[in-house]
Amino acid sequence: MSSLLLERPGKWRWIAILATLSFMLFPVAQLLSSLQWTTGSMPFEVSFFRALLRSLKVAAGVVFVTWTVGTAAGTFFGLYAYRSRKILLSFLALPILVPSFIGALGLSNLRISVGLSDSTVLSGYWGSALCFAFSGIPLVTFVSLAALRILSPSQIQALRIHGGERLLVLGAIKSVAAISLVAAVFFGVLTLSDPGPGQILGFSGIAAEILISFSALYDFSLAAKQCLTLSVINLCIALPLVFWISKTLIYEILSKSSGEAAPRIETRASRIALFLNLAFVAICLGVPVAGMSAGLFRENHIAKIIEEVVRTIPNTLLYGTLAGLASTVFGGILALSMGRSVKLQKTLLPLLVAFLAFPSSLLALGFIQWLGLLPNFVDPVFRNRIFIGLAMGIKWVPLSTLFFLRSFGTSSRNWSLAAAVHGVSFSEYFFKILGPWLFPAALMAFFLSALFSTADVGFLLLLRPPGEDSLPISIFTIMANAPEALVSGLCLTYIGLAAILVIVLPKMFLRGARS
Amino acid sequence: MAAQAMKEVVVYTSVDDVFARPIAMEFEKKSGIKVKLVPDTEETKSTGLLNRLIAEKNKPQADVFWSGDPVRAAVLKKNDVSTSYQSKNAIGLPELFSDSKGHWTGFSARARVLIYNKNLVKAGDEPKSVLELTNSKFKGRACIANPLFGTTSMHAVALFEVLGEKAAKTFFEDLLKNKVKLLSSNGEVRRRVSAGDCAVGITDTDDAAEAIREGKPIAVIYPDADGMGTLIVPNAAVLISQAPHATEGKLFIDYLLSAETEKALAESDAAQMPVRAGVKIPSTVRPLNEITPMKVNYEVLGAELEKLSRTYLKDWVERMSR
Repeated sequence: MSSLLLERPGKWRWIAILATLSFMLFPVAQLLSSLQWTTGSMPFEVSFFRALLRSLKVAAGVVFVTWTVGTAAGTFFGLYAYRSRKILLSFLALPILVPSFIGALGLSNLRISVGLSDSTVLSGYWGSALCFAFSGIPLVTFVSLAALRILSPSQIQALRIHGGERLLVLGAIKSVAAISLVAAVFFGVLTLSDPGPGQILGFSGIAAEILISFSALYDFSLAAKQCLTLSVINLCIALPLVFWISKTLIYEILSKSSGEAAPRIETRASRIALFLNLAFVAICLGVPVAGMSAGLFRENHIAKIIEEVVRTIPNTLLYGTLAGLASTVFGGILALSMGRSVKLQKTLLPLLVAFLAFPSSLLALGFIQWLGLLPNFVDPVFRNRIFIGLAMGIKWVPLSTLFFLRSFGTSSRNWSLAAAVHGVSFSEYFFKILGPWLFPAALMAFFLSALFSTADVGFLLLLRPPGEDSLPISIFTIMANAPEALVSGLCLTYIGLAAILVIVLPKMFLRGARS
Repeated sequence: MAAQAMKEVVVYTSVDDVFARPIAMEFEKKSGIKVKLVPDTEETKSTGLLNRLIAEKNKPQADVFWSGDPVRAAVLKKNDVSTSYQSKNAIGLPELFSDSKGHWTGFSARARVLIYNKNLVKAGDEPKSVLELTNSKFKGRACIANPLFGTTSMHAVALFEVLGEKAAKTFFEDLLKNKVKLLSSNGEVRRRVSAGDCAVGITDTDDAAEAIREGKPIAVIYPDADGMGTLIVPNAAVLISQAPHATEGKLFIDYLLSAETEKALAESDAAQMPVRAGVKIPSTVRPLNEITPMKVNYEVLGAELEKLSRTYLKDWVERMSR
């Protein structure tokens, strides 16, 4: 097999793409095939569209705030060095990695403990938007920071000489704005299917409407139809956006490696970056943690917290690792199959955005229905922790795909040409040249997919094998009625464990982010 | 109970993990049968064990569903997920709280109560009836959980049965006019009233007990003692049809329905009321015979709930959310 395989068109691309998509969409297809489209409740009620409108308003607000703030911050953090930059960036990553309901609980606790009424910005529409922004801003910030690599050191130097730091910042923001907009929209789409913050903070959106169909009316068919409608709407949002910015997006994905500009110390700009980073950590992480801490010391539940953590941590790690693995493998296959083809990327990227919006619980339900059809003797294979962990990763394949696309795009075609000229086999080229180049992206995809999957309780709540809880599931199931101190203690433990992961692996994390 | 090594029973439960797990562990210790507990919460944040049970109907993993209320058990019966089981330990349990065909058997109960913040409601001003939440003195100061979910949904449908459709709708409309706050769960009602965010709310006795245990400034009222009565919410034990470990499942149900479990649940932080007579209870738990119970037919509540949830209650919640 030639090392040029990944650079040439071929039928294998479509076969690999279709096979991967089939696997990803299989639970959805299973669910949809069981629906009765001509009978039963239809999603097109006024209440559905009112709820959708409310959610779209929140999502639009979140997209606007995360895009504007995150792009500017990511640019500053990427261009300028400042004290404790790595550790502060690591802390800023934490809000992305904890379940949204933990942030909402923290915000709600904080509001109550400081005696604010529920008509303030900390609840309802504004509270939900704020809660989503806590994790959205860091996400877009990191994407912008990573996208800065599009500017070569010489370009940065030229901008600096021509117009000073002001022109450099503006120029850098302009060049990363498109990719950060995609990240913000991706995140906005994710908020549509997440009922957690809305439920806790008193906002009723489209996710709550689907939850009502699912959990109160027990109408799977209606819930699935509503999900499908939501996915189509997401597609309608994603399509024009992707086409509009496709030139920039594809350029960024395909951009050549241009070396990395080291962040530089500029007294004033570095101070601004430091201030921004501290402020973001204080707001996005500090506010929920302060809310949790308010209820922590009312009672001593240390023994119970330790017991729960010990009981659930092995499963948490197992599920996360397997989900990360599945997402990375399928994301890698999908990205390498798309390769440098603009046509394939334009076709598939909007689909992937829409796929992200499909609620995890509905994917899980599709799996349950499928598992119910299988003969009993295969149960030990498909109803164990390993299969469930791998299945959890499917939702996050789009994320991994983007990381691989970006990383593959920055590799040079000439490498494979040179390898072919020298008679290097595909496997040797892949494992010695391309593989190591893609490794940081794979690591980042694995790491983020694992943490996102772990934080997303919707899937595991329905599919976890009996007695095999993860820590977020444990928190989720006790948070309504357990003592506040116990819930706060478990939430803070989860944040603490995520912090250890991020701080232990900061170099890996930042290296991956830049890829 | 004889030791039965290596055997297991899979129990799905909508009862809070903190209350269900000690009971499961005690059964495990006494029977030698390993309990694989799959807990859930009946609050709105749940995507639902009930959905999982319905979806797994043709090839269930669960042997027993320990429901926090009989309405969910009735839904399982309607969907052919459950099967009949008449436990020997059901003797002494009131038939009123069980399915006549044996698809679910009621035991230890909670009650739907009013709680109020003693710092915000003056003595003499405290509500005596749930209908008083529409009183102008509680305008914008009262809260309830979403009536599409959990025990609040059961309470809503019980009010429709007891008051009649017209009066019940008037009550809900008046709640809306009185700007009642719609919260995500009974636990949230407890939290908000305890914190003084709301003056009064409707919740379950286990939530109220939790707030009192935490030293929050709240008081509990068993509402409508002189009128329609307080809604009693028994637990329900359900044997799953085609359960993989049906024998062990039956043993677990026997254990749940025993006087020992009723006593343990009464002594736990859940402070549940035994429904059989003669079980010793702590002074903090009100005996069931001291409460005026709301007269409802638990068997029909499930079917009524489904109808009501799709129509009036959904519309009401939607109007509240605008």
